[in-house]
Amino acid sequence: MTCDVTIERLDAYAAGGEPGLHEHVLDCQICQDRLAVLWSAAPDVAEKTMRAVRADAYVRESLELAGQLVSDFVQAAAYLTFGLRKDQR
Amino acid sequence: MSSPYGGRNVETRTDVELVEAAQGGELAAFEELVRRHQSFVYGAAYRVTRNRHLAEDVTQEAFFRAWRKIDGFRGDAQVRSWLYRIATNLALNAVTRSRETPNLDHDPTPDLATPESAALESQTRAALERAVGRLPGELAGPYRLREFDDHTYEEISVILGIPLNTVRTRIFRARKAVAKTMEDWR
Repeated sequence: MTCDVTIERLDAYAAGGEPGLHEHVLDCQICQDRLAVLWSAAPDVAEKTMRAVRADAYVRESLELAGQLVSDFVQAAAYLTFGLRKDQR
Repeated sequence: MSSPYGGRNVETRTDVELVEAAQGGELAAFEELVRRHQSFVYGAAYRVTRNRHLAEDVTQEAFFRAWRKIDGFRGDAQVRSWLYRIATNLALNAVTRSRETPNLDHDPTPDLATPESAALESQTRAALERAVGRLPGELAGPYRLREFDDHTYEEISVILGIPLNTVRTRIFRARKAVAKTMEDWR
């Protein structure tokens, strides 16, 4: 794997310049490795992010469970109303 | 939900293994992805927004979107590239929106700094100074000239009397060492 982008150009890109490099950086692991070094100091957002993700996961699970309960209820109601289906006799 | 990686420390898994585990509902795996790539994603967001608060919001939103779309992630793509793409698109949208809201155009952090954030900034600065102080002299010199005195690579080459490529290499190595020390500090 090789990359001929100079450190100066990547520096400029990291600082918001060199827009022409964008498409290259999207797929270049070497540039991304270098940028990861340049951008290594950042606020820790993991806690806040995971709070939102956990809430989302909980809501999704609850909706699935609610859907399952409704489905079970409808089946039970159908059974009480119409009795067993032909294939269940 | 069971995972083929169950019991194995998330920190030792590859990105793709973490995505697969997250697709199976393992939140700890996704959290490790966030921890592993948050600085990179923040950097990508800050590059576009030039605003710390906006970049932080974009970083959180990018990971949240990634979580929502995780089932659609293709194993042949690089996780970091995928996150980078999401973050950049969100950052561009955020910038467009912020242009419609003039108050967000500049970074208000210096004006709104609380005593706690000022103390944290001062501690960070002190930690950075210590990290640079630990660098070997051949790396510390070029690093200081570049990061603290804002000299170009060419100027540093002339000031220190070393070839341009050596300047680049030393600054790169210094940044890597400082980043490692700062990571341990945090």
